[in-house]
Amino acid sequence: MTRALISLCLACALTACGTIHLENTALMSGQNNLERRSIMPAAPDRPVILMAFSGGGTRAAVLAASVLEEMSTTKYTALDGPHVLTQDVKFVSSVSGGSVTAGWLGLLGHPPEEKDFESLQTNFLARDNMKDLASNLVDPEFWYRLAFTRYIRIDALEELFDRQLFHGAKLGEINRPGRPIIVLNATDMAGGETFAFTPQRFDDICTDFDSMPLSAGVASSAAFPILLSPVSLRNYSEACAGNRRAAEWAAIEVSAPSQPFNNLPEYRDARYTNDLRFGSNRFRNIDYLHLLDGGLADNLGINSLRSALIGTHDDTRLLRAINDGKVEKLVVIVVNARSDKPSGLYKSARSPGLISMIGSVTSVPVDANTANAQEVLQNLLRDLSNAARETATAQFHRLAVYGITIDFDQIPADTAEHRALRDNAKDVPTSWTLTDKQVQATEAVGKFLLANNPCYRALVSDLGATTAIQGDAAIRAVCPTRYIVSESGVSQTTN
Amino acid sequence: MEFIFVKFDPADPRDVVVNGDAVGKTDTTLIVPPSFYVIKLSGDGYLPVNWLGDVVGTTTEHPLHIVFSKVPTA
Repeated sequence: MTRALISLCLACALTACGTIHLENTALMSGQNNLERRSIMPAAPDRPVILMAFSGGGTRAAVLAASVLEEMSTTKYTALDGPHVLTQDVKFVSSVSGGSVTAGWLGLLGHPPEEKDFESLQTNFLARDNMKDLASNLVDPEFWYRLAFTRYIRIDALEELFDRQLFHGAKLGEINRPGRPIIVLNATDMAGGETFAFTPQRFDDICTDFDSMPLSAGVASSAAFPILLSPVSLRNYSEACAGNRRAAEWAAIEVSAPSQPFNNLPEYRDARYTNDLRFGSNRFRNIDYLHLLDGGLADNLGINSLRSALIGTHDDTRLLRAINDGKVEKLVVIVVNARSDKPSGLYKSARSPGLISMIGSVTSVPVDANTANAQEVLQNLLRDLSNAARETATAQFHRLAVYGITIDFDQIPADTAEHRALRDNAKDVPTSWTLTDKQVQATEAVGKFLLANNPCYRALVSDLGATTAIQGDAAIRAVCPTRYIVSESGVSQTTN
Repeated sequence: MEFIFVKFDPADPRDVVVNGDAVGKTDTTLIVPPSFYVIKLSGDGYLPVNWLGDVVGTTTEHPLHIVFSKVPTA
């Protein structure tokens, strides 16, 4: 099936050359992009949960859904009444397959319940989506549209998402008060930058955020190169009539000669923003953007998560809330669906062929980049936690940080049962179709890893919450980012 | 991660505005990323008009102290 799809797409690549298909519309005179969602907790003792869903096809979508499903069984009572933990998910940064679950969550409009997870599974996760995509091969209309209209290969994926999950919804339908902030991440294929689907970034290209189809956002995030064509956007900044917000921070940081030495990632972000806005002293002139799979630049969506956490100009205003002491429990959950199929190369003396090498060239750098990003985030969370511990007079002194990573590599190898769990999960391919067994294996791992994560256990304990799945008593680990502040001093938690 | 402490009149707390965005209040330690900053306060009636400089190399024990003074408004 995959081979057939590859053949199809290579053939289609020729017919798509020169096709112009732009997905965005300019901000009209007086029109602006508003961020209508908020990360602020409804009561001071309720946690603020930020999540990142990685790429990895349906495997990633299932893993993210399984973590949410486990969280939906965690119940606690706060000052403002009883809650399930999924009510506190305020922000999700997602990539590729993870964006399917993120988009679904954003559109749902209420904390997901059992029937919602069942519906997601029936409509997408446990469905043969590859068969659906490949059926285009024998559909004359598909070939006609490809050859004679503005239809391009990515449209097939957008149509699949719309048919099964999003039903023509626009980004405006997920940008509503009370819903989590969903940030779908794609890669700007010319500059290699992360392009995040946020009202703020859409201001930078003078584009109406609310009218963009949700399916286009998710497809941008999942547009695997070569197999799928990029999603193309026009930058309307040159003659912007819209009432977009100023980006004073970018103008200041680009013009300060010390800034590249102070904070290079932040400087690059400011420079990219300045370029998109047609600011002065531009590095690049960007008239069009061609967006591919977000995993090419950042397969965990950590760039956007980091910006939400510590960015002074980010629309989440989380840093402001932390500095004002309005966040007491900060929970960051990173769901990494990286699998690791057993490789035949370890058993062969023969020099690897071209296909094997292409596979390594496309996956090894992404995995290495992901590992580095994960480390940077963990360090940032430790720094936040240490800052709260050390600064007794600051408003953020009571901040407790729970840094939770879900990663197949965390499954212990101590028992035959754990090894089977690990091997089954590691063997799940990157595809839009999984077998029932593969879906079940991925779900089981997501729930197991969350229930056994020491920071999740600490959170459940601190909230006085109840959960459906108890952690394995043999797995005793310490949450490295969370400290107890008491009258007599500070100590790290032992769960 | 860096730390600043913007001192002003404790009886008149203001927003601390860095590069155009409010990140917290005066007279308490604030977290900011390392950067070049133009720092102002909300409202008026203070001097200097703004503070410009790099915020790097600070610690929780030694945040960068920035002082604004109250002046009568015309």
